[in-house]
Amino acid sequence: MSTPTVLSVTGLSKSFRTVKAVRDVSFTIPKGKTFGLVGESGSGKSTTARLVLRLVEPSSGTIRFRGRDLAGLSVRDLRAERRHMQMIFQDPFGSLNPRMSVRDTLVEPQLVHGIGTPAEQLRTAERLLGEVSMPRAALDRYPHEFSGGQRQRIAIARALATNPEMIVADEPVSALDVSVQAQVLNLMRDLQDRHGTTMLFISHDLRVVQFMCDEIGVMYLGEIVEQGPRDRIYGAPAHPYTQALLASAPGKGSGQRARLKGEIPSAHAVPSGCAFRTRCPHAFERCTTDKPAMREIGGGQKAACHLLDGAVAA
Amino acid sequence: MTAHPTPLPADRAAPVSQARTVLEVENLSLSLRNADGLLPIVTDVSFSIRQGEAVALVGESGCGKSITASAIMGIAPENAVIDGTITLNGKVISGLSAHERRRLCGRHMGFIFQEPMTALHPTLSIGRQMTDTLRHNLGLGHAEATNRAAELLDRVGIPRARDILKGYVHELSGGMRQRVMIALAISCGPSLIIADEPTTALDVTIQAQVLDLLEDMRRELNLAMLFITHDLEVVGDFCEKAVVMYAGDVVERGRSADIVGAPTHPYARGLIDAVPAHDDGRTRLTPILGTVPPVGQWPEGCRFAPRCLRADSKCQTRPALERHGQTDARCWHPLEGN
Repeated sequence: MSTPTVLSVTGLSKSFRTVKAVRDVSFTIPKGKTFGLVGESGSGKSTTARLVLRLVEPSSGTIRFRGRDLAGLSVRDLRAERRHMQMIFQDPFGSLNPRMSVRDTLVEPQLVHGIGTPAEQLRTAERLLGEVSMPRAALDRYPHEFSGGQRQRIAIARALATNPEMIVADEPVSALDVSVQAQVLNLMRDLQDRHGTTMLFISHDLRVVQFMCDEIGVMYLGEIVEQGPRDRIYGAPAHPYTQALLASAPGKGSGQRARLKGEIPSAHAVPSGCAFRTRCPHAFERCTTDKPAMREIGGGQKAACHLLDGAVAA
Repeated sequence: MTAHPTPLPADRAAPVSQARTVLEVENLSLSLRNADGLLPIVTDVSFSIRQGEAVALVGESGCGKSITASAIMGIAPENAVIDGTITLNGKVISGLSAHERRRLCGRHMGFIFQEPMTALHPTLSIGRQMTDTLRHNLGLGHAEATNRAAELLDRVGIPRARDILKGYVHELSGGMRQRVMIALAISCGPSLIIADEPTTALDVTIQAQVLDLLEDMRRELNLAMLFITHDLEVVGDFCEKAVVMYAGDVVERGRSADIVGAPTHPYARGLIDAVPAHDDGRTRLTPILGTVPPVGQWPEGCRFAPRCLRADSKCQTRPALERHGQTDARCWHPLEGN
């Protein structure tokens, strides 16, 4: 209870016509911590990020950010609140305006939110470049003149320009080569330490999530199926999907590779009962009929699986 | 192990123990001709692959791994100037015209690309693409080719093969598309499969399925495989040998287990250290400083030197690819293996 909660998401759902993209997602992020959403394509992790930012309107559920319900805010208030909530996207080529110099890119968010005088805005831009280890000379250059890693540094500097309380990062290093990926991940952690920024971090890469996040939610077909502190999720995964995901990752020797059958079903036709049952090696009758509820396992870890019933009772 | 549904080409019947060399690449260099002259892209690449063996070509984007593969496949860009010798099953195939090459090695090489959506034809049915290949390369009749195509799809784990033959690529998921690519690649009984980042675009659980399938096919059909990837962890799981490239150079070459476990080239070490490992609890990663120099701006001497913590004046001269410990490395100051 010592650290205040910055973001609290409760029962968040989003349907696009018949597609249930996100179903009943709940989590909280304490100040200065990183919450990771991990899952395969189609799991709803990016949609969740967009819902949190209210780039997409939720079908139901609440998003409390800094104690205010974002869903209730007018467009004007929401815009003001966005100053405290910035984002970093996967594709540093698509997310920077190609016709804006780095100077304009870094000044614009301050201008939009009415932060500082023009001279101060420029000083902030220069300071931000320094923070992301880019030379001052970069100010007058344009995105196409930089490599992918440098562009992502600029995107990070831009996200920091309004001194936000929280950053939502959606696959921020997935497009980068491993050596550059390491630079950007180190940078993000350093900046977080320095500014105490809260972070929602989305990635399909289990290694990256383990490195970056304090708490992790594992998503499958629009739902969080398991959630808990990093060391519990990686050390003692409770949900069969989390177990399969961890075992499928390369680097474990081919003999050890888990063979999860089939593919993620379409969000048009979510299986009855437990959504994972069609691929689950342990599925039994009840999984077809009853939807498993999220259960506390201990140590802040919880998972939604009928197999855990016995464990809880024991 | 199941029997092959149709007779194998004669050269396939040899037992594994004889393990002849299928592909030999010797001193392959490739430059692109542009308005300013010749732009070197790949320098002096040599390696070989035996029957039943998987060799990884590893490196970051821009290191020259894919264009090396394209030179072997005979689909290098038109303005490419290629030096060196490529030998397939004892026949020199470098320097042949496109027509001769197709005649000589069309059925002996199978390709698998990263993005099957662009590698497969969008408006031809899957069956048509497969039977065209079978009829052209093996001279099968229509009915025979259709049967064979259905068998192949069945074999790569595609359910309802007959229905899928009538369908199109866009109707399939990424994992299924990649299975179709694999079926096509093995359809004419090749001795060599070239797979360029075959699982990079796939989710991790599907990646594991496709890697398993590739491995099964390799063992069952005793295929030589060139596996192009940026992911060293996949290399360790899947390939016996690895060739690590940096800025158009082979910087390290040897058994995968040795390279992943105890690399001698500082770049290979850097690639391994840069990846967050599953359980080491580090709070900082060890990145490689700087960025890969763009093509045309490679330094003289060792191309990795400007980013290397071990570099000194000696590195101004180009090192040779030499044996250091368990592997071959192009380095004046190789790391001690364990």
